[in-house]
Order: sequence, then C-alpha cells, then structure tokens
Amino acid sequence: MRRSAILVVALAAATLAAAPASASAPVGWAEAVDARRDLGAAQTAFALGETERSRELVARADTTLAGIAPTLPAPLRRELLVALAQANTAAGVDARTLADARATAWTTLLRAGLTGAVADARKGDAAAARQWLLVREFRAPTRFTRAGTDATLAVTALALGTARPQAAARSIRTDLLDTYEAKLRTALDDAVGASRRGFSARLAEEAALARGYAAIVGPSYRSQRGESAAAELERALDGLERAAALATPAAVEAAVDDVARLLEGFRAAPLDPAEQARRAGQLDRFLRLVPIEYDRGVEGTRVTLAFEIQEAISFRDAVATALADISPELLARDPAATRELTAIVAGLGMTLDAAGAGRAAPAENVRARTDRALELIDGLYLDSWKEAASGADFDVIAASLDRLAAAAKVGNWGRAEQARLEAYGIFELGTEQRLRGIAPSLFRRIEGLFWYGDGDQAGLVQLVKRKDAGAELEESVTALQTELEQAAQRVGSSSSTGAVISNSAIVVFREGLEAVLILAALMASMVGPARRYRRPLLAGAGFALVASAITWVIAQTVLGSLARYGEKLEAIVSVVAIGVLLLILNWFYHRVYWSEHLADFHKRKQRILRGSHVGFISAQVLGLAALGFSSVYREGFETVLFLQALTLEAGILAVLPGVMLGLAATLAVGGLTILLERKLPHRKMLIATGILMTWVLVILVGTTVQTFQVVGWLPVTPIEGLQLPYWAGAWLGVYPTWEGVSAQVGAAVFVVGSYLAAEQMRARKRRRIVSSVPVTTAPAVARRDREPELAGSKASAR
Amino acid sequence: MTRTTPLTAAIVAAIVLLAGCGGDDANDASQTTTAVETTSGGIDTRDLAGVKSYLTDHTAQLTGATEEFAALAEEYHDLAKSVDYDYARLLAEQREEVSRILEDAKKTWIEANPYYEQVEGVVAGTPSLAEYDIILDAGSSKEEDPESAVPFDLKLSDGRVLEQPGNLFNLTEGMLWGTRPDLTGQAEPDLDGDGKVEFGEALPDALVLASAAEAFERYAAELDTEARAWGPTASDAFTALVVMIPTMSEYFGQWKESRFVQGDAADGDAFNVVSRLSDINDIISGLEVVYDGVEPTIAADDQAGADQTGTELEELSAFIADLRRQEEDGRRFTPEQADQLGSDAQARGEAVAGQVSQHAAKLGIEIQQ
Repeated sequence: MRRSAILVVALAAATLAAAPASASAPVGWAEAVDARRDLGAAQTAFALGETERSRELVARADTTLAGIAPTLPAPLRRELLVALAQANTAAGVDARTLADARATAWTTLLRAGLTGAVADARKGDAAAARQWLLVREFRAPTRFTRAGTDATLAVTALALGTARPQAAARSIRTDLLDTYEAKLRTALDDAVGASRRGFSARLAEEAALARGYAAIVGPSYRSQRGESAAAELERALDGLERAAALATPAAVEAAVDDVARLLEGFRAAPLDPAEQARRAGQLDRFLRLVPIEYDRGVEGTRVTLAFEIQEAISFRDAVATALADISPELLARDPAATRELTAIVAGLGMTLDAAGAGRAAPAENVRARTDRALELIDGLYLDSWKEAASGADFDVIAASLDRLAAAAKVGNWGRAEQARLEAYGIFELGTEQRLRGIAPSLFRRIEGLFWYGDGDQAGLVQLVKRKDAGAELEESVTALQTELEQAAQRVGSSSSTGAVISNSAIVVFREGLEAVLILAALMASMVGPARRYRRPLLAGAGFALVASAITWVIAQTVLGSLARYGEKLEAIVSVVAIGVLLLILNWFYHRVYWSEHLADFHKRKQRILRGSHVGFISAQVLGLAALGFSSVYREGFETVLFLQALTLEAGILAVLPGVMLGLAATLAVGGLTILLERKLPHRKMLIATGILMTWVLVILVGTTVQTFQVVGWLPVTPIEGLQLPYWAGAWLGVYPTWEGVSAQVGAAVFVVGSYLAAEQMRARKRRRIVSSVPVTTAPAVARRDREPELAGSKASAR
Repeated sequence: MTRTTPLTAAIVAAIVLLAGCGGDDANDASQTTTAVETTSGGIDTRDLAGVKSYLTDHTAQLTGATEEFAALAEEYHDLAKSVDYDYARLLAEQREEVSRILEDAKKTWIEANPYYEQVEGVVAGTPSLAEYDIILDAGSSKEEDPESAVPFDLKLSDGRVLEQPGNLFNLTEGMLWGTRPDLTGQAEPDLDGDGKVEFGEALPDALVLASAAEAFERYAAELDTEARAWGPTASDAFTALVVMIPTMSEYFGQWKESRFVQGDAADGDAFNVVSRLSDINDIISGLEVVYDGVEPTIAADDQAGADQTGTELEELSAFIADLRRQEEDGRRFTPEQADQLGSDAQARGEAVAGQVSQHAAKLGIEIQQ
C-alpha cells in the first residue's frame, strides 16, 4: 500500500514535471474577438432601431467576457466589468453610453492582450504569447504602409528557438505600441469628424477609444515625459470626454488640439539607436534624390516627364515618413531647426503636388529648399547618423527594385530600365566598395544579379532587355533583394581582420595587375640605348602614384561627391589609356615605319639611340609618360575609393597590411615578367612584350566598355544564351554583351592586323630593294636594313 | 629558351594561391539573420486557378456587355449626327427611338457594372492589372485629383480632346443619368414626354458618349486579354486581399454621399444608379474567391488562423449582404446609420486584412506596393 502510494506520488510528480508550462491566457480568450463583434453589432442594431436585438447581443457579449474577466489582473478586471455593466444598462436605451462602454471594454481587452503577450514572451512561452495576440488590432493599411508583422514573426521565431525571449518580447511590445499610438491619433481625428457631422454616438465612441488607446501607451508616455506630463495628458483626455458629451464641434476640436499638443513628438515605441540611425539615413538619402528626380521632369516651369515628378513625390513622401519617425529625437536636439525642417518638407510636398497637377516651380527652387534642408540635417544629426546615411542606400535600392518590378508588370520597359540603372547607381555610389572588401562573394552575386546572372538566375539587364515580365524577373528581383538584405547586415556588422587583409590584398593585386603588366612588359624590352625610355614611363607612373595619393586626401573629405563621379572619371581615364596604349603598340610594331619614312623622327631616334639626352618634348617620350600615368592612375583611383570605404569600415590598421601584401604581389608579378622576358632572345622578347601588351589592351577595352555601360554612355545588348563566370569579367574584362565582345575582338584584330600589315610592308620593301639593287651592292643594303636589329641585339647582349 | 627556375615557380604558385584566396568573413556562415524560417510546406499556385477562371469569366462577360454598349452608343451618335447634333430637334423628331436606345444603354450599363465589381478586388489588388481599375472604375479626372487621374484622353471626332476625363464607369453613368450635365446635350431631356424631367432622364453628348463607349469596349477587351495571360501568384492573391478588404471606409463614404442615403440632396456624379453597397458586396464576394485560393496554403501553416480569418471574412460578407438586402427591400439608411455601418465594416475589414498580412509574413509571401 505504502509502496503504491509512493508510486502514485512519484508518477504524479513526474507527470507534473513533464507537463508543459500552462498558458497564461485565460481559457476562452479567443472568444473575446466574438464579444467585440457582438458589441459592435449591438451598437449597429441600436443605430438601426433594433433595440431588442441590441440587448440580446450585449447580453451575449457579457456572458463571454464575464467568463474571461476573473482571470485578468485586478485593475483590468474592474474596468472590464464596469464597462460591461454600462453596456448592459445602455443597450436599447442610450446609444452614446453604449458606444462609450463598447470602446472601453474593447481597449481594456487590448491592454490585457499586450501585457499578457509581452509577459509570456519574456518567459519564453511562445504558445501563450500567440494566444494573447489573437486579440489585437492592426494599423490601417495605406498606399505606403501595411500592418506591422513584427509581433507575429517574433512569436514564431520564439517558438522555433531562433529568437531570445527578451528580444521577442521587445518586438511584440514595439509592434503593438506603434499600432495603438497610430490608432490613438486616428481616434482623435475621427472624433473631430464625428462632431462636425453631428454623430453623437460615434463621437462618444471615438473619445472613449482615444482614452483607451492612451491608457495602453500611457506607461511609455510616463517613462518618457514624466509623471506631471502624464497627469496633464490625463486631464486633457478628461476634457475630451466632457466635450464629447456636449457634442459641440468647437469644444471637441479644442479638446483634441490639447491632446495632440501633448502628444507632439511622442513615440510610444521609441526607435532603438540603430533604427534611429537607419531612419536618419533614409531621410538624408531620399531627400537628396528629390531635386534630382524633379530636375529630370521639368524644363523651366513646364512639366516634361510626369513620371519623374511622381518619383520625386514618392521620395518626398518617404522623407516625410522618416522625418516623422525621428522628429522626437530631433525636437529634443533643436526644436527650432526641426520645425523649420518639417516646414520645408511639407512645403516641398505642396510644390511637388502642384507640379503633379501641371503647375511646376523651377527646379532651382526645389534645389534651394532641399539644400537648406540638408544644411539643417547636417546640424541636427549625430555623427553616427551621418555615418549611417550610406546604410539607407539599401532602402533606396529596394525602392528602386520595387519600381522596376512594377514598371515591368505593366510593360513600361523604359521605366524599368531607368529603375534598374538607378538601383545599380546607388549601389555603385558607396555600398559596392565596402562590400567588395568585406564580402566579395556576396558582392559578386549581387553584381551578377544586377547584370548577367548568377548561377541559374538571370541578371536584370538580360531580363529587362528581353522584356521578360514573367516569373523569372520576379525571381531575380526577389533573389537580388535577399542578397541585398544580407549585404545590408554585412555592411553594418564588423568583419574579421583576416578577411579584411586578404580581401584588400586581392583587390589591390587585381587592380594593379594590368598597369604592372604594361609597365613591366615595356621595361623588359627597354635595354641598352633603349633603357632611357624607362625614365618617362616610370615618371608617368610616379606622377600617377602621387595623383592617387592626392585623390586619397581629397576623398577623405568629399567621399560622397567623389564616388558619384568615380565611374565616369574611370571611364575617361580608361579611354585615354586605350588611346595611348594603341599609340605605343603602333610605335612598337612599326619601328621600321618610323625609321624609314619620317626623317625627323628617324634622326631624333638615332640621337636617342646614340645615347643623347631624352627630350621630354618628343612624341615617344610624351606617349610613354602618358601611358605610365594613365595605366597607373586608372587603377589607382578605383583602388583609393575602395580603400577609403574599407578604412571607414575596418580601420587603417586592418587595411594597410592587405595593401602592402597586394602591392608586393603586384611588384613580384612585374619582376617576374621582366625576368622571364630578359631570358628570351631579343626578337622573341619583343614578340612576347607585344603579345602581353595586346592582351592587356583587350582586357582594358573590355572593362572600359563595361564602365561606359555602367554610367549609361553605351547601350547594353546582352548576348543571349552566353553565360560567363564572374572571373571572366573581373580578370579578363570579358562580359557577355555584343558591345564589349565586339570592341575586344576589334581591338585584337586592329593590333594583329597592324602588325601583319607592317610585316607585309617590310617584306614588300625588301623584295623591292633586292630586285632593284645590283648583286654587288646587296650585302651593304642588307647590312643597313639589319642595322636596328643588330643594334638591338647588341644591346640585348649587354 | 627560358627555363623557369624553382624560385620563379614558387612565386607564380604563391600569386595564384593569393588570387584564389580571400573571401567573405570567416564568420559568414555563423551570422544570424533576422529572417524567420517559414513553417509552410510551400505555395501551390494550382489553388489559384479558380481565381483566374473566376476573373476571366467575368472579363469575358464585361467585354460582351461593353461591345453591346458601344453599338448602342454608335446608334445614338448616328441619330444625333443626322440632325446635326441639334438635341432639341433630336428629341422632337426621334423621341421614341432615342428613348429606346438610351434605355437599352442604361440596362446594358447596369448589367455590365457587377461583371466588373465582382472582380474589382482581384483587378485593383493585382499590381499588373491595377491600371485597368483606374481606367474603368477608380480613376479620377485631372481636375479632381491629378495624382490618381486616368491615364487616357478622349479624342472626339469634332477635334475636341477631353484630357483625363475620369474613369469610364463614372463618365458613362454621368452622361446617361444626367449627373454630368456638362456632358449632355443642350436640351430639356424629357425622354418620356410627360412634361417633366426626372432623375435619370438625360440626353448625352453623342460624340462624348460614342468616344467613351469605344474606349470602354477597347479597355475591357484589353483587360480580358491581360487576365487570360495573367499567371496568378501567391503574392498577387495576398496583396489583393490586404489592399482591397480595408477599403470599406472609402466605399461606405461614397455610399453615404450617394442618392441611396442622401436622396435628392446628393450632389455626387457617381454611384447613384447602382448602390455602392451592391458594389461592396460584389467586391467582397470576389475577394472570398481569392481567399479560397490561398486558404489551403495558410491552413497548412496555421489551421486555426486560417479558420479565424475565413470566418471573419464570411461574416463581413454576410454583414454587407444583409445591408444590401435591406436596401433593396426599400430600407433607407440615414447618414448617421451609414456612418456607423461603415465604421463597423471598416473595423472588420482591417481585422481581416491584418490577419492576412500576418499569414503572408509567416509564409514569406511579399505584399506588393
């Protein structure tokens, strides 16, 4: 017997221990939603004169909620029971009191739901939290906003174990407080509307709702503004209820104004510092885009492109939303500047709306006001907010991708392409450089998705060109947005020093490789008397290094502006480099041409070959100096931008070792090239140099065409069906577009053709000379012909 | 010929190794994300086939009705042209014929209206089709609201151009029932010859009516073509539900200002022939079809949630249907009652839309802008 008792107790204890923690939500909590509906239907029935039905519905709601009330915390239980008693009394008798009681009961339940969900989430009880959230409200969706989902996702994450209880509780609280604060403000507006129309029951309901929502956000208000402010808000809400009872529009409006004044700058769920910085960044980024879009859409006071005006309006609305979100913080820092900023943003809204209706203000007007707003922002912002501005790039990119998808769906491919260029342009402005340093594989995937594809996913360029608005475009946009979300997190997080070192070394090495190959190949061939050609080449390279250093200093202060023009500057310098390289190649292959047909150049060349002073006015010297400069500066500029961004990200101590490593590798390649070429016989060395330079030229042409396409100076015509790995573009400058491939093939054909033509000319000349000169004089001529080669050979031997 | 030394080979190898090295942060794989793994088993778009066939059935009917409407408008135009657009003379000489044509046109219009309203939820809520809602039913005129104005102009055969004149349903309603006096002929439109002009008697401007009817037929046909080419996605369906269900407030507001509530005091030029309640009922019915298409997907993840949302949507639909029945039975609601009803419907609609938003978030389905 005793053993059995022990066994039963043990079993009971085990069962209790194994049983899941019981949910804290009251049994039947979900029926609270039905009760809400019944009370609403009761109010409607009363309004329609169906008094008996109204009473029945109130009684039904009372039964439901009476079962729930005892399980609620005492203050809430009392409030709910008082409201139910009022509803019972008023049903079928007094519409205003019924409306008031209904609103009070409902907001009391909402308060219980929030409190219960947060408490149970803190305990890690996802199931209980989910139960509490069955009774909640959502923000009314608008054109730009949707109902928040943070609370739902937080509970799901808590259940899956991917979110910690405290974090989940915080998300739930933030989502619900944000919702009920919005509802409070809506209730105040609706109260004014109801009073103007003379709808007394509706007015009573809205006033009670306002009080109920205020009670929900009350603790947050108290903690932010203090006890006396909270008491003042309480008094203002009392005043609103009294005014609602009078139902005089003027009194109601005055009471609502009192409450609204006390709520100015209040945010029930304050943004955490990271979110504040993000909103601040969005405000900055979107504001800068407003005058750009507006400028594209007007000429004088005439609207030329209505679409651009709509874009400007969208960006301005986003500015207003971001400003509203951080205005509490800004008001705390400088109320006057914040109010001026708010007025400018509101004024821009009116100006843009007028432009949308066909009455455009000059673009300078919009620019001037935007500039003033940016000045104010510069004074208002914390330093951390200024740094976070680039994080808002991802929001702008996301918005542009949304517009791309929307435009594609309605078949407006011009707008879709514009949106694509805009999205990529923002990415290029600053994010790309940072991402390349800290997450190059992620950077490659994003580049691929923007352009020519990544794995099985087609790139946006191809899809827009193809006018493919089907599932593939949607998938690509979604894939790109997913990658960009990851990039946003990566850019915002810290990276390991090892990754920064290796990635910066890789980029410096790759960017420097082209320049070093050109310089090394040429220098290898400059032996003997030709050794003096090294000076202008190295001088040009040296100037380029100095210029790159100066660029670094300038970029320290004006990185944003510089980055905007980075790609265009690179494009221009690249064209110069191609031109100079073609010239040098031409000179390289056509030595016989110079010496045979241009007496002046020939004489100068002889002077040079005999060791005369190399004058910097000679074409070859200038050409070599220009080649040295353009080759190095082209790469130097882009590398500086990258290093600037990476230094901001990871610090100079992490970046410098990587740079040194990359430079060492680059110089090693240069030294190796010279070493290998020196071991070749002279003629073969010349040929090897020519081949190497031609190869570099082809790469240069490919990357330059790509750069022109990025900045929109050349069209993009993808080669359908051609998929190339990322390294083909990164290392060989080969991109799957007709423009790029044709240009590269053309460059190679031009160079090889020039060489073959020169060889043919030489062969023809030899034949002419041999056939015209008597046999006795042939050896002397032959010696003269061979003179340059012999001179070169002698130099090689030295 | 050169020989590559071991040192050279070592340098080459080191450089190749360096080139191949480097990558994302070592912590990459361990980075936690804020995305929540969905518990859904995936979205089966076959469930949405019913939505598409519902849509195309209605767009086909709408196309037929607008063709008929255009033919009647052309007939009316021919009559007006025969009297050099002298509407007083037209009525004097051709009253019977004119009355018959306009009566048939009104009947056709009333028939066409629910064909569209029953799919308005799908059309307006699907971004790739939404422009047709602007054109047919929701767009304003340039004067009213440039931001939501229709994207077309009407070019009349006499050279006049009506720039962005408003959506085609409202435009043609206004002309046929006289709520757009600026688009009617200059004559007393006593169509039944009883000596008085009552509501609904109007002589439309024949050129405008013909042009509007032609545009109506054209855009209806385009919508039908687009609908047949449409491949509904889960995102489309969820977006339609989230965007359209909470429009109760706006539609009830229009109902409140219409003749059905305000009587003769109404000064709006639309929603005076077919009650907006009827439109709302049709829209919600269409959205119920959409919800039926996504319900299996939601239920696979959250059966209880799917049941709750389905029930509340049904109750909203029943609420609207009951009001419509009462109105059709002759009941006239006061403005305050209409306001209360609208507020109630709005609260219900927001609750359903909010729940759908949560389901979409858990399933990782995008609600489009």
